[in-house]
Amino acid sequence: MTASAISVEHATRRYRGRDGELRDALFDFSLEVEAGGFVCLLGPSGCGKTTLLNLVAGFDRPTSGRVLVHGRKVDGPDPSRICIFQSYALYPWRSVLGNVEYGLEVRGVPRAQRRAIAEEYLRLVGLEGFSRHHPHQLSGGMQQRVALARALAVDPESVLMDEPFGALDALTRIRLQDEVGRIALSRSKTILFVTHDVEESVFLADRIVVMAPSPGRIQRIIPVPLKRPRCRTNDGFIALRAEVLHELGVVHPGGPLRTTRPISNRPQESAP
Amino acid sequence: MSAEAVTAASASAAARPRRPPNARTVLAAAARKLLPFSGVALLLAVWHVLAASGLYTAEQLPGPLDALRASREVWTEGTLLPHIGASLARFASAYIAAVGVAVPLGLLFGLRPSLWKAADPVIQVLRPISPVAWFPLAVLWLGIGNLPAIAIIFVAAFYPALLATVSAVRRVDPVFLRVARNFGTRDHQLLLKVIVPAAFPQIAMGLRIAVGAAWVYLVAGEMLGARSGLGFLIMDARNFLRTDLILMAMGLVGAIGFAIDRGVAFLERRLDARWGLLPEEHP
Repeated sequence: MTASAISVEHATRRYRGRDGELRDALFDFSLEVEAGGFVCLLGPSGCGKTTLLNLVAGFDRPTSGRVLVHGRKVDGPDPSRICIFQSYALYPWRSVLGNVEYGLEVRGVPRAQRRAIAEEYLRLVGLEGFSRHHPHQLSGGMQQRVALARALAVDPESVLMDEPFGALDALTRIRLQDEVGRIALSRSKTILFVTHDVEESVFLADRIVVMAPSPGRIQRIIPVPLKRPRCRTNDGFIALRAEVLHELGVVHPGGPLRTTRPISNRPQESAP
Repeated sequence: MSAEAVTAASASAAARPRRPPNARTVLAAAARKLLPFSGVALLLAVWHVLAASGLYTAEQLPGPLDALRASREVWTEGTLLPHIGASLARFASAYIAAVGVAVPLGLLFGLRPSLWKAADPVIQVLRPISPVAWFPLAVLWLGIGNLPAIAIIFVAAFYPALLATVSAVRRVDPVFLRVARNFGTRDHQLLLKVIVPAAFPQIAMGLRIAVGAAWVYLVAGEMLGARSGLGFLIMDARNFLRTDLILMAMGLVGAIGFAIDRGVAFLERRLDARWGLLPEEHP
């Protein structure tokens, strides 16, 4: 059997809270992600999504259990697993190009070569022509594109995204979801994506891991059998979205379709 | 949310036609520009009235015009510029030395919290001691002349530069360090590629405070037996009871200090704009 790209085995992460009580941010958590897979971690805040991501990234270690990447134990952060943060975390003193070059620079890639690579990835995310700008001159959506280009420039095996679009407005978010979906498909990266946006998870994931809090654990894994590129308005999408909402307890059984459809599509209100 | 706010703001700005400035708005703008000067003018006027009132003798309080005449006198003697030059040279060398020691030390303390725990009480006890209190020791150890003056200015500039650097390093956004580690940044790269640039705006703010502090103690330092400089000029004028010269030199110290501060503030703004800490000005 070949090892999974990411494999979390009975991982527990225990913290001492501010009140001195021990809390399991994550409890006996097991998950396998195959290479090239796109897994969304979905759930309310406090369910351990970010904790799990930090364990996989190597920023944090499990209290018990273990995290393997291609069969090797994770013992620290590594450029083969790049994190993307909600706050973009671009270096404000560097130009856009300088930010995308960063990972190549510390790796010792010669200047001309890293410039060429960085420019290629800036094209990929649609930011050619902005290479001399500084991050603060760009909108949030553009900054996150830079962070995406910076991550992809070092050609990581997996990209770990922690609510990357959480700070963006709805339309920008949709555009970036399209782009991440496209890039994930074409570059066959393994992606672990933390979100609390149900539609986002249905749009992007092969599998949605619905998580529950106290202690952080898996509630259910929902496969997403929809063909890519996905359409946010077709029936399969809407039905699945309703199912996930139901799983989260946001929508009650007995009428999920009706309550989640856009108003104009409601049968009883359609014009003809 | 912010993106929406920005588009809404720019849309309303575009919708509002720009009116040609009328006489009233021009006058109001001119008045705003003149406000800082009016304060200075008021100060000079009060000074002049006090001097002319006869409350004090001309030796005790010469007026602004007397000070101006005194400046013409030292100017024609050709001693003014050398004095200013000497002061600036002392100031610059002491300041650069202070920054050269304080910033690397601050980086070290900022990066090694245990070291800072040990050093912090020492610094906190030494810092409230006014640079002036070091006068006797400065003269005992360094003699008179250039060195004690430089030492006094050094002490004045050292603490703000050190403390700003320590706090700047400690306040570097942890996510910057995470990104650095994630991309495989080695320890020897981390300092120059991430920590120093990330901390730089706050360090620069400390350096600006240090400039001000250093300049304030320049005059005091130059009273320790220096044979040149604006501080010496004041001491020398005192010995000859040339109050007009004293006031002239004081005014000059203030004006040059102001100019230096404005210069540094300008550099700081340029830097902050580059780091994105200031909103860009949109025409």
